[in-house]
Amino acid sequence: MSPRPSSSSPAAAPQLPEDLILCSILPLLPVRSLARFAAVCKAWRDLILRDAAFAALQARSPSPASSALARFHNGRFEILGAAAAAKSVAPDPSLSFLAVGRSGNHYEQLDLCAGAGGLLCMTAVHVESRRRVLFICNPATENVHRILYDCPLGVPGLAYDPAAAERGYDVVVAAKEGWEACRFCRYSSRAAGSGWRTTRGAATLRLAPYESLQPKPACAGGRVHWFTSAGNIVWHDVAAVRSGVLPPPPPPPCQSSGNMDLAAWRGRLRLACATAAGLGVWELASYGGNGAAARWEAVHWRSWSAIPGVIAPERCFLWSVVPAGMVGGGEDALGLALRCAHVAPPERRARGEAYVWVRALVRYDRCTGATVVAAKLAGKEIHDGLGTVVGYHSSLAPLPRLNFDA
Amino acid sequence: MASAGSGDEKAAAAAMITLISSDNEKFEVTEATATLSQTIRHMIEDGCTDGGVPLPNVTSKILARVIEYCKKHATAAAGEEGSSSSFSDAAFLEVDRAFLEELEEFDDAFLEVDRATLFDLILAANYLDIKGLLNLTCQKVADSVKGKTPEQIREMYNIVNDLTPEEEAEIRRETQWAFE
Repeated sequence: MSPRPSSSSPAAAPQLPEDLILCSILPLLPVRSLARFAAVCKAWRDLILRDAAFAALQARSPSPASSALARFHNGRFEILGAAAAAKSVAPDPSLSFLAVGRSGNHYEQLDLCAGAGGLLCMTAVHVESRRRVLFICNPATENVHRILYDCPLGVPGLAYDPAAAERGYDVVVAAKEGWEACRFCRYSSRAAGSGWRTTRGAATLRLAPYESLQPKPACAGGRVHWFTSAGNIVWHDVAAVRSGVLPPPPPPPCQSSGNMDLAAWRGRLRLACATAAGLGVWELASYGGNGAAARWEAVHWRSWSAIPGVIAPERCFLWSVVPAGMVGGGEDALGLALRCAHVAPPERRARGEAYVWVRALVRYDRCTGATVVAAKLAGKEIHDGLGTVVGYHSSLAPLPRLNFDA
Repeated sequence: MASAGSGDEKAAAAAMITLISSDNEKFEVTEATATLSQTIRHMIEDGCTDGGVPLPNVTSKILARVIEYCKKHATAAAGEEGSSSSFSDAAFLEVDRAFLEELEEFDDAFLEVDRATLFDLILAANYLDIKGLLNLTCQKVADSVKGKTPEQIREMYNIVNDLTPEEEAEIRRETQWAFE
């Protein structure tokens, strides 16, 4: 007995109702698969290529099939993971659609600043004019906006939420002004043509002298968050034009920002921290204010001895583990950049190896505790791109129509 | 369920619900297990579960699997609730790794079924509104179709290609990169 209404063709393969396929399964797929499936039939073509509501649903449904860790390294946007899985998620790694302007202009010094909801924020310099620009792009659909970096130099962040009713993004640049002040400049795609705005008054923050802003801010809940060199978190609320400073979770975890990473997970801010004892993940439950302190909730803690593939610091004479990127899909994976060295085990010493040097990015699945080496670092390269590992979602997220000048 | 007293809690934990499959088989489950289904939760809240809950869309074979899933994940949910209160007290908590691994293994083993059963599980999860099970099963299908060609998709899902050759050629030109 079948619970389904009988299919029109006898002895047909078991079928799912169309609405379940279209609303529950297709949104979990990466753009590469969807683009292929547009050729299945008219209904699928119209849904995948022409339906804005479907694009929005897919953009806010990152899944293990459609998201992965990624980094921008040596001029390439690399998906970090198993080759087969990476291929279905990967966009054009050279991001060649960025460098070719409308009239054949070229850019250099391309670099990744931030990512949010499948969009990337990149900076570059125009070869001839030496002017700095920002690219807001979706590498999966190869849509791009180019914006002149027409404000004080700082650390750009991208505020974009595919679940928000009003589609559009904001670029927020946090810039130090003098010794202690931090100002925010904003470019909003919703107010196209009006250019950059510097926020004043309440949105200017005082930091400690020499306290600087770290790269790769994270956007969650309509706020952009930057780590500072003192380990604090500076935030800026885009809609309310407010900003503030938060302390990290209470000790023992974090004395400096070097071993911490911020990321958005399901609309909330998460902080991963690697200490000599182990790996912790916290979620920001409340920003505090009105005299109340910010509140962090511990979501994960595990000692290094319980994480395979990571050598505990007591066995190393050189040990550094930095959390690098969190995956936004259904499974809760994060990247760990390892730079370790320890005395070789006896069997390797017998082969003449005195020490083992490890430089790698491992992908740690915090549900199963399993680790996979996602990237090995070659040679003695210092800039390994691990500072800007982001959770990337191969997303249909559209860029809003903008009447910007070429 | 909302009661705080320990005596009431025991009573709530012991409350049993009878689920009746389309082929009239009866399954006794605890309320905690049954309420993983939002559909059944609403029925309980409306007080219309006396004499059992008829589920005319779900066969006994599938219902047994669904209950197996709910039982496992109801214990998981209870465990999470229990530990979340201690999170704020002790910042460092060694996660019960063995249990999470076991749950993951259970989910993996649970998905080792043929396509017909997988589809029936999706239909049941959708009808019973069990979010975790729907996500798990849909993800399995998504993973299995991710690398397929349009032809394979049409065959798998019995879809008739109603695009004209010109339309199909145009789509394929636009999305050429996705076929490489």
